[in-house]
Amino acid sequence: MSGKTKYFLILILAMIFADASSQNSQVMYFMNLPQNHLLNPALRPSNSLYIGLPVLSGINLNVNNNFVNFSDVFHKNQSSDSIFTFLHKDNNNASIDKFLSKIKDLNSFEPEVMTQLLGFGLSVGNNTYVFLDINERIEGNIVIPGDFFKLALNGNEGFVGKTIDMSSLRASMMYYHEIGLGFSRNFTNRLRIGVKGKLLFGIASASLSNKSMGITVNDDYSHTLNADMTFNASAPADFYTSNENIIDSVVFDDKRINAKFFTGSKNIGLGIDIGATYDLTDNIVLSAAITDLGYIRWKRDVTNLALNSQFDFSGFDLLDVINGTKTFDELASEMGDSLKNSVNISNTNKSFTTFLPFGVSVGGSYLINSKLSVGLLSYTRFIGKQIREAVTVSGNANLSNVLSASLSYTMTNHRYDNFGAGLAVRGGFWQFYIMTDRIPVYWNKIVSDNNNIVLPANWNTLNFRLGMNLVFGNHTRAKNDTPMISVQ
Amino acid sequence: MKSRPLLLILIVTALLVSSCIKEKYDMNRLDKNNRLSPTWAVSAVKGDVSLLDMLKPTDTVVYDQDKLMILVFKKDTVVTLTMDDFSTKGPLDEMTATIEPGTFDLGIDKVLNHISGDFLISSPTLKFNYLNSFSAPLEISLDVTGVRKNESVDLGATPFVLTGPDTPGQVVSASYIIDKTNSSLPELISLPPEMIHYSGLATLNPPGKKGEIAAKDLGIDQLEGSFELSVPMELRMSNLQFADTTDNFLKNDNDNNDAVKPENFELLRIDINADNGFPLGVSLSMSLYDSQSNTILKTVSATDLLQPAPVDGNEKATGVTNTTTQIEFTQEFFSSIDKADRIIFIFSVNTTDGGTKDVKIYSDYRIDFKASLVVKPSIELN
Repeated sequence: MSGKTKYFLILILAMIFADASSQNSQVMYFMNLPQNHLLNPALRPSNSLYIGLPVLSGINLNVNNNFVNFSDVFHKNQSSDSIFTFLHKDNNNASIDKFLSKIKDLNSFEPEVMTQLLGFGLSVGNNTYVFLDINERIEGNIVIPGDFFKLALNGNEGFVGKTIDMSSLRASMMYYHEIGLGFSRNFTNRLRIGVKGKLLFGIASASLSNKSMGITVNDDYSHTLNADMTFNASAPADFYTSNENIIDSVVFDDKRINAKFFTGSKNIGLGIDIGATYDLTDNIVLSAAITDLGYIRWKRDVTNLALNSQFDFSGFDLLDVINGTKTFDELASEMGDSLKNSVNISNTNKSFTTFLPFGVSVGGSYLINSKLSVGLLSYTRFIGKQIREAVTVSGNANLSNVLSASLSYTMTNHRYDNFGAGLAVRGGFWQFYIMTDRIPVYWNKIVSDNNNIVLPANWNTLNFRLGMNLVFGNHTRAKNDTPMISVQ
Repeated sequence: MKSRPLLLILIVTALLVSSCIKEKYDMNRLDKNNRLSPTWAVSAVKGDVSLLDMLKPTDTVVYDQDKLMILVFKKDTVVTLTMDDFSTKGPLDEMTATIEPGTFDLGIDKVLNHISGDFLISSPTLKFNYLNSFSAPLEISLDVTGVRKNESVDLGATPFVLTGPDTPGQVVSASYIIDKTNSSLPELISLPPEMIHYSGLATLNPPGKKGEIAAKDLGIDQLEGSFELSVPMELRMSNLQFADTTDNFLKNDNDNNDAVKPENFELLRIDINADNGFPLGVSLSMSLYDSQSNTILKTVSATDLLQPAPVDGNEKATGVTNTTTQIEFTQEFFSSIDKADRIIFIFSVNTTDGGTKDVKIYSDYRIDFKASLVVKPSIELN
């Protein structure tokens, strides 16, 4: 393995081992940034016009998992400088047990990348703010049942008399363009409502959904398998089946990945963000939003695979072998045939719908003075049957629309060590911002061949957002056109 | 004054961001000795089989009307005598002929070579089937001896007179049965014999049974006789052992890269659950043997692989006996495989109640069994 390959693998592992987060920029919510309308369309910045330059405007990266950490897979041997994996033979299964203790019932891996291709926001009059976003979004969600790891690492003996539940196994990946147009305005002196409608153009999608999948291991070690799964894909790929209706190859057609592929409009979807802020008092502002409520109907290059199987295996019945009517080879062959026959796979090309994971934000801020505030934010994200919850407390500062900073503490997915920070600085009409929901306190230095990489020691979440805006009209607002974070 | 809180925030931020290196991982020193050893349990084989499924009726294996299993061995042409074979022996009309010595090979010597222990067949019969046209009384005196290695048992049958035709020229087809009432046949069969040697004497007009026709006046009469040995499976066994030694088939002689090698298993266990309807109990042992040092290296055993079914007063099984057995092959066993060149298997069989009473074997006896495998491979991930 070359040094670069190893380096790359370590990086990928590190990304996988980043722990679960809420898939949101909790820090950004209370900052004075044009992009915070992505989290609540009722929020508006203090400037009257902003232009997000292509790509530079904003890059948001989330890579999360909720099961193990880098240090759970690799650890330093106490008596030498060697690096051991959790599978090291001298550990006599102790490391595997420790690894499995970190495994949850539902283990998710959720990469998300969003690039803002274009952003535009304009204040219209004192009360109204209109905005437009064009974003590239890639969202993934893979859920691996805890039983899968236990089965792979410890075998099935621990499941005797139980069912190995794989029903939560699912995976989805979506790549789509998002064009959003919205506005917000004060409907009363205290209430501000914002709405953003979104037109979605799907580029590619693959999703595995699972109605049931399990292996029951009976006391006599007989097994009952059942599976009812569907796989939908919209991708430049062809799925080939054998005569026995088994998928035996998948071929990606590179020729179809061209400009037309990225600009196609067959996979149309709609979405909406809706939010509101309410000034409870002069110092207390409440807010709530539902974001990413929407769907995409996939029609291009569609493949639907449905698998349905019910199979019982209680050992080879030797009666026919004993009475001489069959050989053991014939018996094994028949068993293989019945397993194949029990698997019903249908391959169709019907359009399908995927729904976006949507989020619900509820927050409140208390203005200590004209420059400082504290905020409390709850963000709940609904991903299929899974729910991610994050609660953030933050201290926020805004200095004359020049500098906006935030320090946050987030409790999410049973982790209570997420300290985040965000900083936005304006010089003239240029505004630069950078933020993360989690600042790693400790780091590990990984050396591979001649490459060095520094990774967080306990990487709960890889969340990173940065960008650059052109902002104009950075005047101090009058009291009666209250932004989310009031600046005088 | 107003900028003081902001300064504080910036300082805290800087402190958090400028965090320290906790550990250094030199992945060039990654130890590659990784291993995975999951434990897999799977039902392997099962069966609900009767004796009839296992042993179809043949010339040798038959089942009577009561479904009792009987082994039948036949020897054609044991005796062929004509008047030319007889010569005057005694006074008056008494004439005698020698029954030429012969051997009745049961064809079970290879099996018997592996058997030891107490074994008793209770009710065998040796049938002497014959075609006889001698119209004078003809007495047969058989000397039958069962031989197994250095042991032998004489049949001890008393001489018997054959049924003859009432009138000259007729042929009578009849049988004479030798059993436990008139011989030591059970003891002979329970030897059990590899070979049965026989010889004898045929006497026309034997003393005290003289016929109406003088022997010298008989015509072209003749006698043809054969043996039919019937062994009904009515038996008792006490620690009857069947031992066999094979080459060590577990040993991997080649240095090939087979994915599965015996030494790659930490554990292999066979779990057997059986409802045994046979009045036979079975235990098993398997030993790794080094013939160079004449040493048994490792032994795995299942003392109660099958426990015998109970029997009633008619010696017939009345139900089933459930047995659960685990045969465990440990890593120590696997590590000894390469040192052994032979494997010794020993099956021990007992009939119900430790072989103290007779049991009968019927074709409708069944055994319902399940065997599962529990394996713990050691998968090296180097």
